Order: sequence, then structure tokens, then C-alpha cells
Amino acid sequence: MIYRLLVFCFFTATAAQAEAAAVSDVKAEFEQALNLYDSSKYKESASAFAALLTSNHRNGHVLYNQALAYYRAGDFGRAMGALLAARALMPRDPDVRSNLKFLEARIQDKLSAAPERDAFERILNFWVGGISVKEVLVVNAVVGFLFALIVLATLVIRRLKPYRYTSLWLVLVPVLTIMLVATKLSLEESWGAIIPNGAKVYSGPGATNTLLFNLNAGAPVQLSGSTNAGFRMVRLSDGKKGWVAEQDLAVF
Amino acid sequence: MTEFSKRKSGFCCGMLLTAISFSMPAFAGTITAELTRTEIDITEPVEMQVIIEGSVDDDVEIPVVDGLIFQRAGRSSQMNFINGRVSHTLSLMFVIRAQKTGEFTIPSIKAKIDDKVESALPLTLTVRGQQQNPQPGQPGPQNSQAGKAVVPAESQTVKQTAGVFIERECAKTDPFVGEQVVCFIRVYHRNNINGGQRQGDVGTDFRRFAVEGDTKYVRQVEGKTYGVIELREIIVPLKPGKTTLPAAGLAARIEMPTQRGRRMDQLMDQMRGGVFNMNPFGNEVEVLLESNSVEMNVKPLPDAGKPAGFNGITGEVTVSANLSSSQVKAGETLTITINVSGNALLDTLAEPGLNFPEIGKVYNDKPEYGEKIDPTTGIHSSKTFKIALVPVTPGNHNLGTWELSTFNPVSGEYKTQSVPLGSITVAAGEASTQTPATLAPEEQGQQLVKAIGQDVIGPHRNVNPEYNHTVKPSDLWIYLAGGGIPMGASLLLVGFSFVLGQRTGNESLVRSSKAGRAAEKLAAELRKKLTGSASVSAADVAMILKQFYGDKSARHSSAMTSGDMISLTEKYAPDLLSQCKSLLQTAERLEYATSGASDRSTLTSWLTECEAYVRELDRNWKGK
Repeated sequence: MIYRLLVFCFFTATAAQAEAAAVSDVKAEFEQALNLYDSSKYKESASAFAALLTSNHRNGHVLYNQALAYYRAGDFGRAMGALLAARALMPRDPDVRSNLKFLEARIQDKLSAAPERDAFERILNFWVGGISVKEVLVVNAVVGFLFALIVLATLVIRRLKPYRYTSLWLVLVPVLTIMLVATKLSLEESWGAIIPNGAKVYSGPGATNTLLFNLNAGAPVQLSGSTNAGFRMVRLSDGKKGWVAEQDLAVF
Repeated sequence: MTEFSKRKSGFCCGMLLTAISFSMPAFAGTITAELTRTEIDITEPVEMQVIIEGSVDDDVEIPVVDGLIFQRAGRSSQMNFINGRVSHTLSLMFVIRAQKTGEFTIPSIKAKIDDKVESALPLTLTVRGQQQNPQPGQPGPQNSQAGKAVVPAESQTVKQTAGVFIERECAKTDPFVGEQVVCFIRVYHRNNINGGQRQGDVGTDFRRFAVEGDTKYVRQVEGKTYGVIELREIIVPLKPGKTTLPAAGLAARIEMPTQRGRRMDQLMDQMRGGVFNMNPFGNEVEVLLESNSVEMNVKPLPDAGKPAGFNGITGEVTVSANLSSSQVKAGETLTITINVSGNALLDTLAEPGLNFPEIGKVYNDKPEYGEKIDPTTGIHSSKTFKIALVPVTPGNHNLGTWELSTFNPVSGEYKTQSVPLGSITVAAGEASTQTPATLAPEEQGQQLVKAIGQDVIGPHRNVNPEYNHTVKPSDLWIYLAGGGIPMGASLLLVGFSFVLGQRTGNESLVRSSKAGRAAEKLAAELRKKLTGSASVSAADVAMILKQFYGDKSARHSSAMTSGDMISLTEKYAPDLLSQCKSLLQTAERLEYATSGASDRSTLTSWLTECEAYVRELDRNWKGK
């Protein structure tokens, strides 16, 4: 019995230690990237921050720091791209918003990183830009769970039984949050930025199409899902559209 | 009439006539002369228009000018009714050709109008030698076809547009890439155009800048006199090679003539311009006019002599630079201002890209750009760059020079201008002994606070980098499990209980409605037993009441107590309350009788009483 207990404790401790080791690895790499930034090794710092990001694990603070490293290294385009990605994950972060405004004021093209919507859409969906997808899902899950608790309570607790049918009205709340999730997902935009100065924007996917206009480093662009032959369709805040070579786009 | 009265009447008549003559409005005519252009090449003709208002007695005499040839080009007259007055207007067109260069003065042109000799102001004409490339703002050469505009060949189109057409012409058809080319859009009309709006675009191979204002003159085309409205624009080709400047479009509102042939119709056509400032006789239509396109052979900028890092600016510019301060402390900001301006398009000029890593940090402000289009000098633009420099290294520093290369399309050569940025002296400051890299994070934060608004906000440090701000697809089930599944399950439960409750409620209703018949049926069974040999107790008879109350209240009959039955009677049949109590007392007495089983006759009469009561109760029951 004691032997079994000891084996159990051993494996538990080992598992916990492995978990802690993994935790400290990420933090150590983060600190290392910050040290490189403080040492003015901005390109290395940006690469170190990039190593912390994967397709399934993205941290808004890492993207934000990466944007700063790119900015210090003089890469306006990637700085804007990383900052826009940080905004998608941390929409209410004041530093992200402030630095975004700072960069917008310094890009050559008179473009904004805010999507162009008509007044009605802006009023109805004012909250979309202030909450991330994960937060909406969490709110939806919490509301659903609370609703279930309340309804079960009305079924089980005798004193609340007369209200068990009234509690059905509460289903409007989770229905509303589901609609909010759907609205958020439908209005969710993907943003990127132009990397080089004078990036060409064509009327179609390919350099043989008509050259519409040029964009300069740091210009924020909305990305559409359409890609073709190494080109991606983009949309500007002033409503213009076109196709840009993917190599000219900073998408994080 | 006496002599005195004759003189008196004559004097009065004379005074009256004099007063009338002074009070009458003077119907003096006017004559004006104007040239369509005041400067021409020796090969170009120029039109002169003489407008006379009033009745001309004789023909207008044109003065003789040595070196100029005058040729009559046309004549038109108009009669207007304005505010009750009739006025005559005569327009005479002359074409003037120069035989030599120089400055000529055309003396006043005189005419006898309404019996008075009136004269126009003298005119000045400058004739230059033949030029290849006219300056921007100057009228360009005429159409290549015999030096005159050509009426579009589609007479049907011309007829439909009542003789209004447009032509496009450029001063140069073989410019360099980026060179400003003056182009003209001329709208030819027969005094029947009321307005128009430019349509169409120049495509992606050109940039177009409209010049404000227009020039009006008269021109002879194929023997007909046309009024010309000349619009100017600056075209800048963007790509080398053979290319076509697309046709210009104009959505014009023109007056179509009503009918032709009869004298009265012609008069009506003439009156369409104004009768008490109205236009009742006009027939205005909107037509879309299209000009010719212009073929261009755009030359690429020469490779020979092209400086390294040439940025494509074509034109003549001047560059200047200055420092806001030449003596600063470490950590203080100074501004380097670089201004580029001139007869060139500078909107695409990139930032200087200054960098002084040994001195300090550089922050680029948004450049200021302005442009204006001058009809005589073309596009003039100015771009100002402001670069903030925060030096951290004390000492004397030379900021070096900044170079800008441009291409002059007139000379066909590149030119590089170098402007010194100056020198600065940096004194030691508070944070000058430490470079930013060696500062502690807190101290760095303080430095950054100082620079808020001038720099980005620093990185996030004390945060959790492991937190995943995104939702993995595999984690979606967690959110479903957390909220969706419990919600769905509870909805199902509530729905199920609702349905169940509905069914239970229905059964209760049915049972309640059949309570009376069930009681009668039970009573009949008991009566049968009482008349036969089967034993019946008082409790059996009391069951009729219990069963009835139980069915009515959807409860089990055996669970009904006297108190329950009295409460129900009080609630649903209060009039029968005393009868109910009496029956229940009888039931108790009979059930607990010490003499054993009650006799059949007593039970039978009690049964009859219960039956009657139940029937009455069923009738008077105030619930469902």
C-alpha cells in the first residue's frame, strides 16, 4: 500500500515538474527576447518573439512586443502587421491602440487601420471591435452554464417550481449571446500590412493585370480570403480594392 | 395768338424737347475687340473677334499693321429682347497671320454705330519664333491636320449634337516618363452650349491634373465659325513605350434648334437666349461628346548618367535643410527640416532615410506636402520632411549631407543636389552616461514616459506569455461543454416537464369531470350489495364522499381526510358546508359505533343521503 502510494506520488511530482519546466521554458524565452530588445538587437528580438508563436498558440503580448522590435529595426510593414494581429487578440489594450495610432500617423499612405463601415453598422456593432473571439466564446459558455443552473434550480428546488416555466424566458439570454458570437465571427476581419515601399496593387491576381496604385510600407490592409497564384486580395480603408503579392504582405 | 404767346409757346416747346432729349436713355452703341491669344508662334494664326452692339451704318474698317495679315473669317448677328429693350449685336471674326516676329500693336478699330463713331481699345500681339515644346500654360499647337480642328466625320453625330464637338490635343507626344505635358480639351460650339461636365478617366498609364479656368475664343473650322472653350490639364505619363491617352468625354447640355427653314423659326432660335431672362423657346438636351485619343510615345529615362538611388523625380527642384538647434543636451530633441520644392511632382518622393546610430535615435514625422497648378508654370509642389533627432552621445557631430537626384526633361540630363545638414554640439545630459540598453527596466520606463507622444509605448514585460488568446479548434468542445450542453439539457428537461405537466393536468380534468358519475356508480354497487347478502360497512359508504372529493381535487381517495373534504367544500361549494359537516359527523359516528356493524337500513338511508349530497355537490361545484 505504501509502495503504491509512493509510486503515485512520484509520478504526480514528475508530471508537475514537467509541466512547470514547460512553463518556465516559455517564460525564459520571453525574457530572452526582451533582453535582446533592450540590447537594441531588434531583429533578433523579433525572431525570438516569433518563435513563441504557433498556429494554435498565439499571445497578444508577444505579438505586441514583436511589433515594437520590428519598428525599432525599421521594418514598418511587419511592425504594423504584428500590431494589427495583437489588436485582434487584445482589442482593448490601451498600448496597442496608442501605438497603432502612432504608426498610422507615420505611414506614408493616408490609410486607417479601422474598417470602413456605414453609420448604422457602426452603431449596431460598436462592441465588435472591443472584444476578441475567445472572450465572446467564454461569455457565451458562461451564460449558457448559468442558464442551465437557473433552470435546473427551478426544477429541483420546490420553492422555485412555480417559476420553472418563467425561467424559459431566460433562454433569450443565451440565444442573444449565440447571436453575438455569430455577429462577431461574421464581422471578424483579418488585417495585414504592406512590407515594402511602392508595393504594386493590381486589378487581378498577377503582374500582367492593370496596375491600379502603389502602397508604401506600413499601409494597413484588410485581407480577404481570396488568394490566387501568389497574390492576395486586399481592401483599403478608403474602399479601394486590389491584388497584392503575398510576399509583400505582413500577415501574422 | 399774340406775339408774346407765340414766343412763350415756342420757348416752352423747346424746353420740353430739351428735357425729353436729356431724359431719354442714350442709345449709344459699343465696340469691343479681343484676341484669342496675345502670344503666338510665327507659324500660328490667331483669331480676333470684334463685337458691336448697336446698329452699324457702314462696314468696319480694319487697320493696316505692318507684319500682320488680317483676313475676314465670319460674321454673325443677334437680336435680343431684354427687359423690354431690343438690342442688336454684330460679331465679326478675323484671322490674323504674322509675317515676322516681334511685338505688334493693333490700333483701335472704329465703327459708326447709331450715327456715332465708336472705337475699341488697341490690342497688343507678341509673335515669337517657332517653338518645339510650348511652355505649360501657353496654348498648344493646333491639330496636326492642316493646323485646324477637324469636325468629326460622322455628320450624323454632329447633327445630333447640333454642331458641338470636342477635341483633345497635347503639346508633346513624346515626353519622358514623369514629365509634365500640357494637354488641351477644346469644346467647339455654335453658341448653343449651356454647360457640361467632364467624363472619363485617363487610365492607369497617366496621372491627370486639371488646370482651373478656361479660355474662350472663336475659331473658323471648315468655313464655319465656332466658339471655343479651351480647358487645360497636365498629364504625367507613368510608363515608357507607345501608349494612348484615352479620349476625353464631356456630358454637355446643348440647345437643339427647334425647326429649320422658316424665318420665324430662325428668329425663335435666336431668341432662345433671353426673353425677360426666360428661355421658352429653347430645347435643351444632354449629349455625351467624345474627343479623339492621343497617341504618345513615352520615352524612358536614360540609363546613361543615372545616379545610384535615383528616385524618379522629373523636373526642376530646389533643396534646402536646416536644424532647429545646433547645441543640445543629450536626451533633448532637435529637428532636422528638409524642404524640396519646385516644378515637379513630389508626392511620391520617399523620406530621406536619415540614420545616425552613433549619435542617437531618429524619429521621422509625417511629411508635409503641398501642390498647386499654375496655368503658366505647371505643377509646382513642395515636400517638407521633419526628422527628430535625440542625441545621446556627447560631443561635436557632423550630420553630413543629403543628396537628391532629379531628371530634367528639357535638358535630358540628371542633376544631383547635395545639401549639408549641419553640425551639432551635444552636451552631457542626465542620462548621457548610460546607453538605453544598460538602463534598468524601471529607468527605461521613466525615459519612455518623457517621450510619450513622440515615440511608441514600450514593450509589455510583466505579463503571462503562455496565455493563449486564440481558441484552438480542439478547445471548442470545452466551450460547448461549459455552456451549450448544460443549456441544451436544461431546455430539454424544462420542455419535458412542461409536456408532462400538460398531460397530468389533462388527466386531472377528465377525472374531475367524471367524479359525479363515478360516485353514482359506486353508490349503485353499494346499494346492490346492501340489498343482497354482501357485507357493507360505513367506511364503504363514506368512500363515496372520499372518492368524489379525491377525483375533484386530483388526489388519492384514501388520502382524503375530513379536514380536506371540509376545506374543499368551503372553497368550491360553501353553500353545502353545513350539510357536508353533518354527513361527515354521521360517517364518524357510524364508523366508530360500539354496537358493531351498523344495520342495513341505517346504512341504506345514509347511502341515499350521501348520494343526494354528492349529486348536489357536483352540480354546485365551483371549480373544474
